[in-house]
Amino acid sequence: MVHRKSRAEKRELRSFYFFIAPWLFGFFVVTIIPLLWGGYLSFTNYTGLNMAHAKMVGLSNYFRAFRDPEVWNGLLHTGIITFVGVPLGLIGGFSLAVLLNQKVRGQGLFRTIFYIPSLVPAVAMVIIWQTIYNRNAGLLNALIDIFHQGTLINWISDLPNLALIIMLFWGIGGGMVIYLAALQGVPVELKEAAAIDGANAWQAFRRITFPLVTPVIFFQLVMGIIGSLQMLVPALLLTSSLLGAGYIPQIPQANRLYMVHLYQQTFQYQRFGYGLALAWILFVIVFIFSLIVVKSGHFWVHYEVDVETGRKVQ
Amino acid sequence: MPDGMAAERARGRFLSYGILFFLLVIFLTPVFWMVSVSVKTPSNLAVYPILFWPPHPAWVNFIEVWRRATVPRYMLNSIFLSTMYATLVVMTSSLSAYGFARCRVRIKNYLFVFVLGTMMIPSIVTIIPQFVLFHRLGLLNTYWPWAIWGLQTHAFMIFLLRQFFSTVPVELEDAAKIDGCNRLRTFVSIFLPISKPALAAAFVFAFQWIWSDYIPPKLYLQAEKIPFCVALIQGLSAPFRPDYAPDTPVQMAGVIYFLVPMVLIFFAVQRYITQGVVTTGLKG
Repeated sequence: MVHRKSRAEKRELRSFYFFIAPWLFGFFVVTIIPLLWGGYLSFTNYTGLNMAHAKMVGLSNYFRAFRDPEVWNGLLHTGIITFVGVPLGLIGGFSLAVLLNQKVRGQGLFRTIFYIPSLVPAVAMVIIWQTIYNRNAGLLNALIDIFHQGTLINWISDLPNLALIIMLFWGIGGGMVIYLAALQGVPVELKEAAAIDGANAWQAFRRITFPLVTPVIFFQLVMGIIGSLQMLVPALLLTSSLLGAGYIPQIPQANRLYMVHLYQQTFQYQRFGYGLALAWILFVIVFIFSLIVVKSGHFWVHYEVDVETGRKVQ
Repeated sequence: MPDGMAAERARGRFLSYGILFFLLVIFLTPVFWMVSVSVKTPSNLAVYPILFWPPHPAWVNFIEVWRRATVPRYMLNSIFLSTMYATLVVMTSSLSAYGFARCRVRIKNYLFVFVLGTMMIPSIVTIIPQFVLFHRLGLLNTYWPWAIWGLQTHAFMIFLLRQFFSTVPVELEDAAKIDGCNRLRTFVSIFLPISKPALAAAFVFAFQWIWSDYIPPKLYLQAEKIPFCVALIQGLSAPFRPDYAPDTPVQMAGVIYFLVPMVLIFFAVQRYITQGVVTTGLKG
């Protein structure tokens, strides 16, 4: 028999659409339509002037991206930032959480102080760190100077990737709070049972605590990689010279991340078609990396499984 | 307990505290440096070796910020934009979140996959065509784009609030139904009041995003319409005003003004926020 919707079910469906109407508007009108239209524009030479001048150019924006040395350079630097910076931040945040998860006096105070830097937005972070990295008047060179006289490193222009990674490392407190909550959620009985069975602290951590928090680490890793691949503001502002009333980002070529190149091509040179092609390439890259990480999760992420139903426990 | 073990444990303790204090100093150094730079004079910056703390702190820099260009105006712009966006996005997202959490329809689970899916799309893919569209609609240098972004809900907000609404007992809803409340009345008179903590956390999140967001205002707004954070990056300078040339210590004092509201609001609702962050972090 064909299931026919009762009156009550129809009413329920109507009220459901009423409630999610704002999301439907956002999804179709503000997200999907621009997304598809942007995809179309990536096959044109649209330069932000009259739409009538935009011509179909086929795949040539994409071919151009492959020949653009700046694209490869940007991918290299983005890769370095992602595959060094994200694991470092993850290990740092997790180690802090493990340290604080012991019976430490003043745990709340430590936690708050480590957490505060992660509240500092990129805009403010960049201004603070530019004065730290400054060659002549910066704090970092002055501190190294104590051990090694006459240090004059131009951190931002000579070691841009390191400068960016150190700056972002300052914000690991955000991850720490999440790991700490996860660690505190590990049942005490399990650890006690392990201790009775004669496990030492390291074994208990390795065999019980760590597996139980892998889902959280996994989630942070996925989000961290996705975020890092599309990082723009910290890199754009850190490496640009802020002084000068006009303020046009003057970024040395060697320091550009992929997104910085994309941003400049699109908005500074008004190459909207080319910029959109670069954006869609990034979309594909992000998608592939997310898939790889998610697949790898099957090998090391531990999910608790309900014995009776065989389903994942939320 | 054997003596050796106790001694070892004490050593471990000592090591932990040592590491923690060392890290504390490292994490606080940039904060200290920020304050130190903000009370220097331009000539303090030029001396070698550098001054860790200026001999005569120029606290006047904190007044100088407000005398510069149109800083009060920028500040008001930021407050207006952030409040407007946060109010709209919490209203629309809580409506949608309620639909996804409580309506008994099959399709909601399929649609919810799309809600989560939009979080995975790199934002630049939509930022560029949206900019072109808004430009063609004549919305450049207006605050309308923020109103539209507020009305379109936000996937993260829906996710956060749905999580919260799902925990409300069914009995409460049924009781309201028996009393003759329709869905909307139930939402307004039952769910909203008991969700104040979650709504407050969502509001603070949204406020902070816009307060510190750089790219959209940089693209859309010009001259006296820019928010404080864009003005800050431009060194609080003003075109055609050489007396308002960028000045690092004054800029740093501005950074402190920029951060203080964020940190204060955060501590006001800290408990709810940490809860929110933790739940969303756990339940991927």
